[in-house]
Amino acid sequence: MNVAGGRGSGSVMNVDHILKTLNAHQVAYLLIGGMNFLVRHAPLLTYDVDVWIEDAPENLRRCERALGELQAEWGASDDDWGPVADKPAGWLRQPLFCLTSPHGSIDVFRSVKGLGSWAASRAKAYAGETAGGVAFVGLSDADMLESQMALPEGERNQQRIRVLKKALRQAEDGRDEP
Amino acid sequence: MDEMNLDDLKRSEEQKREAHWDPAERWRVLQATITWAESQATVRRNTRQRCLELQAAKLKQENP
Repeated sequence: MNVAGGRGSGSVMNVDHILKTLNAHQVAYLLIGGMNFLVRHAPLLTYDVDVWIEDAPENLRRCERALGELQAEWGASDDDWGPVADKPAGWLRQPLFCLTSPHGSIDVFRSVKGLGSWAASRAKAYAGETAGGVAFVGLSDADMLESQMALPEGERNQQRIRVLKKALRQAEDGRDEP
Repeated sequence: MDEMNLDDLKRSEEQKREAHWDPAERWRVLQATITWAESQATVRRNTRQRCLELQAAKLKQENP
C-alpha cells in the first residue's frame, strides 16, 4: 500500500499526506492537539500532527506500517534513532512517541491525559475534511477542552480554552432554541 | 505509567526528536506545514476577501 505524495510540495500537501496514509492503512485514530484546533476553529502556530490511536494490537501494527510508509524516524534512544520501517514489528510500545518525517513532525499517543477511553472519545468525535479534501476524524470540542484542562496550569493554552468554551456555549445555546 | 511520568516522557521524547532533525530538512518541512495551514478554511489569510476584512479591521483601529 503506497499513498501518492512525496516530500514537501508534491500533489498532496504534507499534513494531508500524513492523514491520507493513516486512512489508507485503516488506522483507528483521532486527530488531536493544535492541528485539530486549527482545522476546526482558528489559526494557531502549530507544527506537529498529533494523533491518538486506538490501543489495540491490530491497530498498533497498522499504525506501524503507516508510519513506515511515511518514512518516519524514531528511536528508543539517540543511538537507536532511525527509520521505523527498519524496526521489528511491535516497536510501538510506550505510551507516546515523537517522530520526525519528511512530511512533518508526528506525535502518536496511545493514551491522552485527562481523557478516558479512546472508544468513548471516538463516539463523540467529529468527521472533518481538510481543504485538500482529505477526510479525518477529530477529537470533539468537549474532549479538546478536557485535555487542555488536564495540563499543568502553566502549560494550558488560554486562547484555545476561550475559543473552545465559546464554541461549546454556542452549541449548547443552539440546542436550547425551539 | 502515572500522569507525572507521561509529562516527563513527552518532554524527553520532544528533546530526542529535536536533536535528530536535520536543520535544512526541518526548515523545508516547516514551510510546507505553514503552506498547508494557510490553505485551511479557518486560516486563509491570503485571499482577497480575508485581506479586505483585515484591512477594514485595521482601518477601524486607526480611525475609531
